[in-house]
Amino acid sequence: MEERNVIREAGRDVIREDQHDGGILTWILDSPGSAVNLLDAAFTSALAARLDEVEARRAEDSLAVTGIILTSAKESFCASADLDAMASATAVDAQDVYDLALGLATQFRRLETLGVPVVAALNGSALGGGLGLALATHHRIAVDEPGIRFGLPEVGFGLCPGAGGVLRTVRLLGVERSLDELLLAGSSCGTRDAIQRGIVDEAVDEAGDLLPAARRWILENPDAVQPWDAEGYRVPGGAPGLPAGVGDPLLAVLHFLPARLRSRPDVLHNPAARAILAAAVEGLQVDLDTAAAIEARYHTQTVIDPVSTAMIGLRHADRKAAGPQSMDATTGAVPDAATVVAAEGAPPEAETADPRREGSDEAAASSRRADPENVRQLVGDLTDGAATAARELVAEGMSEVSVERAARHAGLSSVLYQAVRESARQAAREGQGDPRAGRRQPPVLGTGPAQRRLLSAIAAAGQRHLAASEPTRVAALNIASVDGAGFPAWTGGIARWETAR
Amino acid sequence: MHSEAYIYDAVRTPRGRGRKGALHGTKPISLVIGLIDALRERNPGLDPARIDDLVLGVVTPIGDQGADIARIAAIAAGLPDTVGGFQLNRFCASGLEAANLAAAKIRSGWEQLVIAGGVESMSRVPIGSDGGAWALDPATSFDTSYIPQGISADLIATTEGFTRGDVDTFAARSQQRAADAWDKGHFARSIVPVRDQNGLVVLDHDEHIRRGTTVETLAGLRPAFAAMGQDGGFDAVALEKYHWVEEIDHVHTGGNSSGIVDGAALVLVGSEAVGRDLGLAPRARVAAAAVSGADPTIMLTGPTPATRKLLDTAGLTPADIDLWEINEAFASVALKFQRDFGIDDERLNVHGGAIAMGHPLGATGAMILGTMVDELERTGLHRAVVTLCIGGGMGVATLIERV
Repeated sequence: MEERNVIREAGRDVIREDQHDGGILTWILDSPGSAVNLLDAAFTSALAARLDEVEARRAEDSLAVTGIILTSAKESFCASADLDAMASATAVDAQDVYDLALGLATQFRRLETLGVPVVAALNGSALGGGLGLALATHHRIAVDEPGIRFGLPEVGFGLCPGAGGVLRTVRLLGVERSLDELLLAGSSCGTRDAIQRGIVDEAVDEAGDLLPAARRWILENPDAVQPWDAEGYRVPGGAPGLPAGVGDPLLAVLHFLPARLRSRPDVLHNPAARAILAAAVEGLQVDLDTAAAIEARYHTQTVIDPVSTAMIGLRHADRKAAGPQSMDATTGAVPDAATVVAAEGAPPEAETADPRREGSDEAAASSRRADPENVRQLVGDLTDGAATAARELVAEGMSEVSVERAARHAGLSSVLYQAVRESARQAAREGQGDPRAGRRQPPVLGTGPAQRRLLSAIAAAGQRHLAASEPTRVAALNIASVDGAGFPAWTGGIARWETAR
Repeated sequence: MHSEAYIYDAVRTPRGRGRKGALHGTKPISLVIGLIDALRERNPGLDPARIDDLVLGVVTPIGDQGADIARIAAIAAGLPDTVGGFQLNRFCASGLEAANLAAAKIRSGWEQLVIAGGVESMSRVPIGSDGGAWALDPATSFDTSYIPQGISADLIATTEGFTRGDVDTFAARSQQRAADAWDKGHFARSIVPVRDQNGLVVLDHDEHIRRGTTVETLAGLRPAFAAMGQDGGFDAVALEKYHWVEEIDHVHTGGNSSGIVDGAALVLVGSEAVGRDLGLAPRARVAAAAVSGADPTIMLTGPTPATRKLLDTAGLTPADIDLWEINEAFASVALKFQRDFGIDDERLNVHGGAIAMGHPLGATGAMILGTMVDELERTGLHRAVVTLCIGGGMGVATLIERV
């Protein structure tokens, strides 16, 4: 009880409140001691406490509160959940992860059904759970400034959103658009694009215009409700349900979506893509509260999966450790789509890594960067490892088609994929293989064993570079194995492959 | 207690061709009632009070053919209240599964007389309209690498090396044989014309047959599954397992795949004692039945393990079988089965099959079983194997012997 009071007290700082004339409240998100607003347990408690207060005041006087504006005291609006905590979560944490996600989703649902208009005044980026929070308001106004980003980058971290990011985007945009443009893309966009995509409603030129615009909207829309709570609401593009509905366009969409997803090598081993698709479709067959539970279950499944641990390690911890730098410049390699997605979608704290703490000490930063020559050697050795393994597999009787397909299924891209492909074909041309190769293998095994052979061989070929480097540079080399050479992101990079599998 | 299971009669409707076909305006329950009436007329000794159950295969059991159509058809046909009704679904083999279940009931000694068969009005209740987890639940579809049957049929052709010419040759022969069989009256014993409530004939022949079909005319048809395989991602999913295959050769078209039709079929299955009591002459003995699963990706190869199991059960080899009937879901399915058992052209699907006449999903198994009962009698041959490939990767097979 005492602990609860402490949290409640602390909650007054997490969400500060300003009251204006006419009963409009402004809630200012301001996590103490943090550069960004995180959606953690303290935030959930703070939001619950604020909602309790509003309900109590409105019970006494229904006009005591006539609208709520959400904004942020930080540079960004709201980042997401605590990635470090998610990275360390395993199966024993399933209940806690689920409770946190569902607790947040429950408060978001309360917010949008409170009975007063709620506006998000987006003074900065809203990514991941931050966008999820904004989507639980009735109207989103953003500053049109460069650098402000909106999106759901979770898939790039091996995660399914957990606090309504799936169920609300699907209801807002329909199954196909929400998946293609947001959830499975994992990319982010600026204010103008966000308006075009339908996730932001209105833009203002300067931050100072946000609150007046929000107040105006509240006064003009005293009876605001979410589209999905309005009478006669239909999901854009249709919803799956009973009867299955022959000729329903969604029927054909559902038929194809899983296969389209499975045929993308970058998501074959990333459980987030499957979880997002499933949460989107299953959540549409039930009411919002049940959909939130379904989404929280899939979210939990991805959080406790080792793949999200590896991907958060690569995209968050390593990036923070290595500092901002361009891998492409050091290797000359063109980053693959997944790299771009993750870079664009990375939460702000990962991108900027808190400049105040990092300081501007160029010497310290440069000690963490990968030496371009080191990276070149690393990529060369990884490529040799891939080529050798590919030749061995052909010599052992696997067909070159199977070896190439194993590389694709493993998620290898860029120079490593090319190395496997060329070496396997070369070995087959030189007659090292068996012309009827591969057919003896039971199909149920697929290319799984060959995938593991390739990944292990490549990771082993890079170990001497990791061992020879100062610990401060390991993160940068690990990132280079993925972004520069094409080792699959789902593994977390060569430094994590041995432990991840 | 133990009794052999005998087939005392077999009837079927003609098959109507899709939405523009003659049977689109006829309800599935009417098809079944017409056949029950016909069984009673053809077998005056058949005391309906002795019938234990009516077992019907239906693959899309919703709407007109939903909610246990078998029980409702039994009531509507005026059978005694004591006759049960049971609808089952083994996808494309449902009609044969119903007959096998009837035979098992008889052989158990617990029941004496069962009407088995199936019905499907595909023009009224389209295939797939009952939803289902495999195709439409994304998590299940993803985890089990769901692909549609047409992709599987093309994968069989690819791995077996059947060319477009091979499958079209098979299809043209199916058309030729079906037309010949009709011309010579080989289906006459089983066909019961569909009549309306005034007794007027609605349909008295299989509408789907295209006389004069040749390999050349078939060659002009476009592959039916190439687009969904390549653009829809299904080829890639199939080739995750069949990774040594460079690419899938999409050889199947509307012309060498089974037709979408309406129809129903029934067989009367009973013990030796009930036949004696009612003065019914047994036409064939159900000697063995088998089911087997198979790899769900290539999906349509199940008839081979099911038939191997069937022959093992009966203690026979392929050389002991006089006639073979495999449902022509797709030409590659029949060609692979033929290769697996080394079957002569002249003993396989002697009167054509579903490529020519259509495949009314729930009914087909009982239809082709009846075709074999008739053909054993006509030719004086002894044994026939009937089998069908099944969605999800299964096969069902039945061995019958002329009595």
